[in-house]
Amino acid sequence: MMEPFIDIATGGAEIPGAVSGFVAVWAVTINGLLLYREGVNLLTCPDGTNWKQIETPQGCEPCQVSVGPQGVVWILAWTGQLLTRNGVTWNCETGLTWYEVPPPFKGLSFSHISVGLNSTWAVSRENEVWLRKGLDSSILGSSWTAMVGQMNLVFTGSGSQVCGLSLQDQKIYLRIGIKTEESGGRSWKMLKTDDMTFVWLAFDGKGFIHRLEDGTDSYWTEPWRAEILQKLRERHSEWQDKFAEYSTAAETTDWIKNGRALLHNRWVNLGLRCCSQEPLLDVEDLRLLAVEITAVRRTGDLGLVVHHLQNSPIKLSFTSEEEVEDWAAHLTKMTRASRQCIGSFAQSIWALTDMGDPFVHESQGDVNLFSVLYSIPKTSVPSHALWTQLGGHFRHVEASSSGVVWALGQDGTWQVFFNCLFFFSSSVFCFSFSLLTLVLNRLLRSSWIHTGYHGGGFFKGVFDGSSHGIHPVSDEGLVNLYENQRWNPVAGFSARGLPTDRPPWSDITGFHTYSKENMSLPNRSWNWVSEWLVDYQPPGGADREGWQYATDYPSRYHAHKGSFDYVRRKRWQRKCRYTSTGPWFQFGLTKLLDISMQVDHSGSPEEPLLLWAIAANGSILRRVGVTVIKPQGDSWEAVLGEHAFQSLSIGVEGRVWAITSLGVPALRHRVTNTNPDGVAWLLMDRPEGSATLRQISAGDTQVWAVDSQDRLYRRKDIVPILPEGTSWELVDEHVLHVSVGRHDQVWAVLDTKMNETKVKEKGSICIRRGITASCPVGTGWEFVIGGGWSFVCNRGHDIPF
Amino acid sequence: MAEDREILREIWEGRLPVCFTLATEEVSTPIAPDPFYLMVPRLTYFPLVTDKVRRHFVRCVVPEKHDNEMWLEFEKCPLKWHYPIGLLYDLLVTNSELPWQLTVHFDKYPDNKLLKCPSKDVVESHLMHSLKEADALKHKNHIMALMQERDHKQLWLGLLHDRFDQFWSANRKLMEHSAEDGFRYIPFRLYAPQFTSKPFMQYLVKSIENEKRLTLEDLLQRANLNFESKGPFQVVIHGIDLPLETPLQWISEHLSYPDNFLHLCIRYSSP
Repeated sequence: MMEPFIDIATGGAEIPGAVSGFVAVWAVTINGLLLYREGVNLLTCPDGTNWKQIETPQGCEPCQVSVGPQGVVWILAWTGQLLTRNGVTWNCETGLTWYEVPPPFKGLSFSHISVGLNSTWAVSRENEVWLRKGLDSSILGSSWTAMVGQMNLVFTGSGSQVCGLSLQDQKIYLRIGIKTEESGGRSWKMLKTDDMTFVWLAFDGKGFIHRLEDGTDSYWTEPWRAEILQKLRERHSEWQDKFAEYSTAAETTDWIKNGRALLHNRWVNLGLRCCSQEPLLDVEDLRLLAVEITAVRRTGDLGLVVHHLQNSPIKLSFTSEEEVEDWAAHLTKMTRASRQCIGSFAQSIWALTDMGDPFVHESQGDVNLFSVLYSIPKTSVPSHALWTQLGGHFRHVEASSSGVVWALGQDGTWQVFFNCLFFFSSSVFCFSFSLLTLVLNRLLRSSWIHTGYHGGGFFKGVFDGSSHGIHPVSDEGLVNLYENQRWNPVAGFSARGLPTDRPPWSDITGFHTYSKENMSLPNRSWNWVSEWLVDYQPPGGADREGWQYATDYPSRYHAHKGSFDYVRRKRWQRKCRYTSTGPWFQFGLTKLLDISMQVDHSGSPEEPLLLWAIAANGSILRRVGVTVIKPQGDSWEAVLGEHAFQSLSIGVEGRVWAITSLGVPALRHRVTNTNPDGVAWLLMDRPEGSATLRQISAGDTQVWAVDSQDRLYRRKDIVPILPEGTSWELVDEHVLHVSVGRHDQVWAVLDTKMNETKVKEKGSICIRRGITASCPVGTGWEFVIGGGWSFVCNRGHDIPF
Repeated sequence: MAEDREILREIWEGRLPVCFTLATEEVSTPIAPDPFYLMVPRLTYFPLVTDKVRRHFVRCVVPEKHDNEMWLEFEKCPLKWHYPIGLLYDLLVTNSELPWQLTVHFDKYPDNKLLKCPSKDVVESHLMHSLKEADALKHKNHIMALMQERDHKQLWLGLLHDRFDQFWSANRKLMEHSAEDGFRYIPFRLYAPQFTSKPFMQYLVKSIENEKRLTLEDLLQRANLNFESKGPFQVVIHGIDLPLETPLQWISEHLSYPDNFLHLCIRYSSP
C-alpha cells in the first residue's frame, strides 16, 4: 500500500520549546508525496505512530526533503525549485504554508539541498554550490552566495559542520572556517579516506560523519537481504539472555603490565594482561590464567615464586626489591580479583613461608569462576585454592574456629629474638575495636559484606580502599656472622686456612661465604639498626675476645684454647628491625615460644576462649578474658608447674597437650572456666627409641607430634575413658610441622619432595587423607602447595575438605 | 567487494553457548569436575578456543594423559577440529537445544576419524591452505599469491583474537572482483550426508553465467540430486536457512567462513 520512499530527513531537535527527545521525521515517496511521521520521540516512542501526508503546491512534487536543527523544512521539487515551510513551532510541527525560495537567477535548477542551523546549502544541476544566508532573520533567507568548487552533494551537520562530495573524485571535502559571522566558511579540505569513493554522507547527532561507500552492486533493498539479516539477528535473540553469563572464548587483549625477569638464568618477558576479562600471566611462552595461580611467594634473593596448577612453580628473579614488590602486589591483586575473593578469612587455613610471610587460604563463598557460579567450599580441591599474602612477619599463627587469630613474631629461620606478639581478630579479615562491629560481624557472618580490609606490607595501593584496619607491624632480629681462623706454626691463628677449610667469614654452617659488607637483609622491610658487634657470650662460651675454640671444623666449640685446638671462631651480630604494616594489632612485648587456642569453641561471642602460651623461659601462661569480642584478652596468669615446655596445643574438653623442653609429652586434663589451671601435668612416654619430641598438635580425638629428627607420630587409642591414649605410632618421616584441627583433619609441612616434578624446594603443605575410625592414621598425603613453606595452621578451619 | 558491513558483522558475531563435560570414564578425581561453560564464536575452530576447557579438565584425568591431545564428541560423534564450529553445529545438531552439550576426552584419540592437531600452528596452516584453495577458485590464486605474509598473518590473528576489523582488512582483498564478472568459481562445500557417503560435495559453479547472476537455487540444481525427493529441505549456513533466490556472488562475499568457503548444509525439517 505504501509507496517506496526515496528520501528521508530528520531534524528539529532544537525547535524552541520542544519536549526532550523530540525529532521531526520527514519523508518523500517515489510519487512525490511528502510525509511527516507523527509522535516520534527518541525517548518514549522512537518509531512514532503514523505518517501524515503534507500537501505540496501543484506542480511542485518533492524529490528531496531537508530539515534543519530548528525544524526548518525545505523541499526540493522535481522541477529544481526550492520551497520552505513557515509556521513550524513546537506545537505546530508541520508548519502552515509553503513559500518558494527564489533561485539566484532565473532558470537555475537545484539538484540537492541541506538545511543547516542558520543557512541552507544547495547544489545546482550544474554542480555549483550555493549558500542561502540570513535564515536567522527570515524564513526565506536574504541572499544566495556561490561557493568555489563543484560538488555532487552537500551535507550539513547539527552544528556548523558542512561536507561535500566532490564531483571529480567522489571524495569527502570538509568546509573549514565556518563561523557565526562567516556561515560560508573559507575553503574545502579533503578528508583522507584511502582509495574509497563515496555516494552518500550523513552526520549523526554528535556531528560525526557517516558515509556510504560506493558499491558497484546495490543489494540493499533486496527482500532476501532483509530476510537473511533478520534471521541472523534472530539467531541470538532467543537465547541471548539465558546464556549471558557464559564467558567468551576468544582472546581480546588489553595490556596491563609488561616486564622482564630471570627464569632459570635466562631473561624472559613477563606480561600481565586481561584477556576478555580473564586476567592472565604470560611468562615467555607459558600462559597462566590468574585463576590457576595458587600463590605468589617472595624469596630472599629478589625472587618471586608463582605457584600454579599447571606444573612446577615458576621462580622469577628480578633486579630490584621494588620490582619484586610491584609484581607480587599486582599478581596478588589479579589472582584475588579473578577468583572474586571477598576477603572473608573466617575459618581459613594459615601458612607461613620460610621467609615468615603469612599467607591465608581464603575461604570463598560462592565464587564466580569463568562467569559461572561455583560453590567453592563444597567441591573445592585444596590444591586449587588461592593462598593470599598479608602484611606481617611471623613464625607462628594460631587460629580458632571462633574467628580469633594470634600470631607470634619471627624467630628461627634467620636468627631473630624479640618475639613480639600479635593478635588478629574476628570472623573476617578486619579488626576493629568497636564492640558493636565485632558482634555484628559475628552474628551476621553469612551475609557480611567485606569492606576491603586486607593487605598491608607491600600491598600499599594495590588492595582497594583505605588502610583502615591496617596497623604497623614490627619485629627485631639479630644476624649472625662467624669469623673463622686456623692456627699455623708461623703466624699462629690467622684467616689463612687449609684449602678445605671454611671461608674466613661465613654463616654458622661454614658453607656460605659472607662478609660484614655484603650480608644483606631479605627485603626492604628490614633495616639495620646497629653496627656489627662481637658476641662475647655465644652458646658454649667464649674467651675474653669472643673466640671459641675447637680441634677442627665442624665441631663442638669451647671457651678456652686447648692444646689440640687448631681452629677458632668468633660470632659477630648485628641488629635489624622489621617494619611494615598489616591487619594485625600488636599489644604486648611478652616473649613467647608457642601459643594455642581450644578447637572446640562454640563461637558464641562472650564465651571465654581458652588461650595458653609458653613464655620464653618455658613456663606456661594462660590468657584471661579472651572472647570473640575481646580477642586480646585481659592479662596473663602463670600456670604453675615444675616443668619447662617448648610446644603446646589445646584439644577438646579442656585438654592441654604439651612437650617439655626435654622433649617429653605431657597432658593436662580438665581445664575449665571454673578450674582454669586444670589438674596437674601427666607426663607420658616418649615414642619408641626415646625420640625427643619438639612440636605437638591436638584436634578432637587425634593428637600428632613431631620429633627432633622430623619424624611424625600419632597418639594411639585416645578414647573418652582414656583421653591420654596408650602409645605413639610412627606415621612418617621428613615432617617439619603438623597441625590438627577440627574434625580431626591433619595438615602438615613435609620436607620431602612430594611430587618430584612439582616441587624443587623443601617445605610442601599436605593434607592427611584416608583418616577414618577404622584407619585413624590415614592412608597418605595429598599435596596442596609447595615448596618453600614452613608452617601451616588449620585449627581455625571448620569445613571438612 | 563485500561492503555490507551490517551482514558481515552479524556473521562475525555468531556465537554458540557450549557446555563441556569430561567423559565420566576419564575422571580420575574423587569428585567429577564441574562442567565448563563457554560462549564460542561460530566462525572459529575448536582448538583456538578450548585452552581454558583443557586446563579446566586436565587436572581431573590421570597424569599419564596430561599431555594427550584433547578431543570433543557430540552424541558419539567425534568432532572434526578442522571444521568451523558453526558448521559442526549446523551439520550435527538437529534438535537445536542449547547449550550445546559436548563431551571432552583425553584418551583414545580417534585417529581413524580425526586429523591430529598438536598445536594451533596446524590450524593456521589448515586455514591458509583453505584460503589458497578458495582463492584458486575465485581468482586463479592471484590474490593469495600477491598478498604479503603480513596480510596472511592479519587473517589468522584476526580470527584467533576475534578481531573483525583486523580480519577484514585483509579479507576484503580476497573478496574483490570486477563488477561484471564476479568470482570465477564460487568456493563452496555442500554437506548432504543424506545423499553421499563423502563428507561433502564440491563442484564448479560460476557466479555469473551468460550475463545471468546465478543464485543458490542454480547451485543446488547443478548437484544433479533430487533434494526434494526426501521432503522439504533447507540450505543452512551460520544457523539460518538461506532464501534460494539469493545471488551466489553475494552469498560468497558475505556468508563465507573465514576460510573463504561457503559451508552449506542440506537439512530436512523432519527425518
